[in-house]
Amino acid sequence: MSNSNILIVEDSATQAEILRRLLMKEGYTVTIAKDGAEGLEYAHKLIPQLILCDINMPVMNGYQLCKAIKTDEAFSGVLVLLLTSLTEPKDIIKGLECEADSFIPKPYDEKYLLACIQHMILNRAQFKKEPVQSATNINYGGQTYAIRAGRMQILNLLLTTYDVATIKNIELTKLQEELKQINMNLEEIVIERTSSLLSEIERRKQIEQVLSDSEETFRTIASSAHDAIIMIDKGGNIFYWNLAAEFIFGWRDEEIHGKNFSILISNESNNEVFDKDHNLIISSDHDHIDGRILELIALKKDGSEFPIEISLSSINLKGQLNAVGIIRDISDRKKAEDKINQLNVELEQRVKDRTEQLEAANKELEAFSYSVSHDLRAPIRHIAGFVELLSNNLKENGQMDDNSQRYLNIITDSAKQMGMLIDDLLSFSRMSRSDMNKTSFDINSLIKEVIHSYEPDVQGRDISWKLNDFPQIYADYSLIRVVLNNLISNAIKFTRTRPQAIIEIGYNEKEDLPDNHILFVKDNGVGFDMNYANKLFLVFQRLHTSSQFEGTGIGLATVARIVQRHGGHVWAEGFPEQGASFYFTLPKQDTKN
Amino acid sequence: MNISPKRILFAEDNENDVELTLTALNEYHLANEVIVVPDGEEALDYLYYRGKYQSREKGNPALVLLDIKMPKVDGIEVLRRIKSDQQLKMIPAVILTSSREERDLIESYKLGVNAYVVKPVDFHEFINGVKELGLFWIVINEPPPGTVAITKNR
Repeated sequence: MSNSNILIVEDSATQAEILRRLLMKEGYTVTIAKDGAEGLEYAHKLIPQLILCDINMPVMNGYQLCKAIKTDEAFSGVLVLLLTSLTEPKDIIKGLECEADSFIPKPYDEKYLLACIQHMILNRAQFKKEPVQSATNINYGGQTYAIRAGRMQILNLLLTTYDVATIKNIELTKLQEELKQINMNLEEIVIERTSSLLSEIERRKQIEQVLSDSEETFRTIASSAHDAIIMIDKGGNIFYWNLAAEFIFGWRDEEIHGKNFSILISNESNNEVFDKDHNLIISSDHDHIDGRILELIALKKDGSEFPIEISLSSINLKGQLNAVGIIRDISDRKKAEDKINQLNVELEQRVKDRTEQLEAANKELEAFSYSVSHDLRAPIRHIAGFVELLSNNLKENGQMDDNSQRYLNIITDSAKQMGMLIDDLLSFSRMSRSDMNKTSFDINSLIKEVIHSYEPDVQGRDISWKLNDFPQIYADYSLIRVVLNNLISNAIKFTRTRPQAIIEIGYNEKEDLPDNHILFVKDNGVGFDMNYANKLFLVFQRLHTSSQFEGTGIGLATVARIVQRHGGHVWAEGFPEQGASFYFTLPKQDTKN
Repeated sequence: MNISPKRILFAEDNENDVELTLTALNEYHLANEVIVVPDGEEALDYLYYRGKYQSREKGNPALVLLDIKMPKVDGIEVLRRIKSDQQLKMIPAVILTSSREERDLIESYKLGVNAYVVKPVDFHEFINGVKELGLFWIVINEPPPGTVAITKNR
């Protein structure tokens, strides 16, 4: 095969290059000419074994070149293979006319082309043109063609034409097959699409069902809710109104639809803050209301007002901002809150009262400790001191004398005084703490009982008792007994210096104290200076020395404490050597504690 | 002891305390010039020449000894009156009391008390304390001008 020389005549450089590479791969020596004229020129120089020639070219076409080759004796052994489309009878006729040795249909199959070339070169001898006597004239399309081609050429052409037809037929059949396949695919696609459409329709139906179920659920929820659910558009107009809203506000859905939200809110009773919020809603500044919970005073259809709590949320419906309000009637809650507030106020008052009580108790405790350090130490010091003096006296004299006796008396009195102080302190502290048990009772008999209890102490004294007739009083019986005990014993004590003591226990009513009984104990005793009246009722304050009148300074403090615990108050009137009067009040009804 | 006794005004309501205190002062023979008053009111009467002290001899005592808890006017009040009076404020005033209550201590020092003595419960301590108190203020301390000095022959 090698060294077979082939001339390619092809005006398309690309096509020429493709052919060259194809042939060189098979071992041919290849030369390229870009048109018929150049092909002829190269043919003269090279004398190729085969010329592979395109038809349509500038300067000189394939037919012309072929004709030139075949009519020149110098090229007697040169084979010409024309690349032709062979689709029209004119192509066939022109091919025959130019006496080409063989034809390759365009577009060519590479394997077929190579097989053809190989065959032609190997069987060169067969292609040798037999002598042709005369040209056969063919009339086609109004033109006459003189065909001088030999039988071999004609046969080749016919075979090639048949090949082309066969190839075309095969291609057609293939195309038909493909079409059929495409048709089948199309059908499948149609079936597929149809079924997907059906399922889409089914799905949509289901969605519709779900939507309708969901809407029904929503309506059921909305209409069965106990809270009013309303929706307002951007202008503040109501477009949704549930059943609870009808109950709460008294407006029916069709009455309220399209009305402004402001119709539901009281203008008069809402304060500034509410007005601001209210404006917020009706202006539907929805971005700023989302998630807010407001308390407002609302208006029913009948004009009555009631408190509501409204919880707002902003929703986007079909590109429009709307507000949803869930409204609850909070009348009950407000009532409960008011009650809680009232209870708080009461509680605060109780805390205040209790604090005052505690402060008073604390003051008493302070007084108690003050007295322990002051008054309880004195008798101990006296006992210690006079025991020492007694002892010294006994050592000096070796026997009891009057002084010794006096020291012993002082020691005894000091011990007694200490016992009294302790008893009185304990009693005072008990009076301050003990529970009160108030009852209504006859104080007349109590007074007589107390006076009677002092009979042993006043034996030999001339005392004139003046007693009023008292109404029933409402107080703690045993505490009042302590009060009377203290006041009556004081009166007895401080009238001791009088030849005839006059003690009056009386009862008063005053216009400025209509709710109180006023009781008093009046005597004609030593009295006191009114300058010191404020000290009388303080713990351990005395206006007399123990040598004048014995005492601990606790009695009147106890009286004051008991009376104060009953809600009354105490005061005293007096003048030195002209008697004293002690007053105390007791509320007629239970106004405290 | 050759001393020049000066007058002591002693306000104390409790007779036993008076006796014990005078016993202590007598150890240095100071008891004779003690004027004992049973309450603050009478102490002021003495200082201001009032009531039964209307015609007493002129001059301030060299020392005022004050119990705190007394009928009518207490010792703190007497101290207040003394220390707020231009004529009396220079008199040494000593509180002699049963308690060391802080509020009494504070109040007394605020008012300008010259000494604050708590009566000891123990007899010997009491006697010694009062004795030394008397010795210091009457014998050792030089009283302000205007103080009555009594020369006694002993």
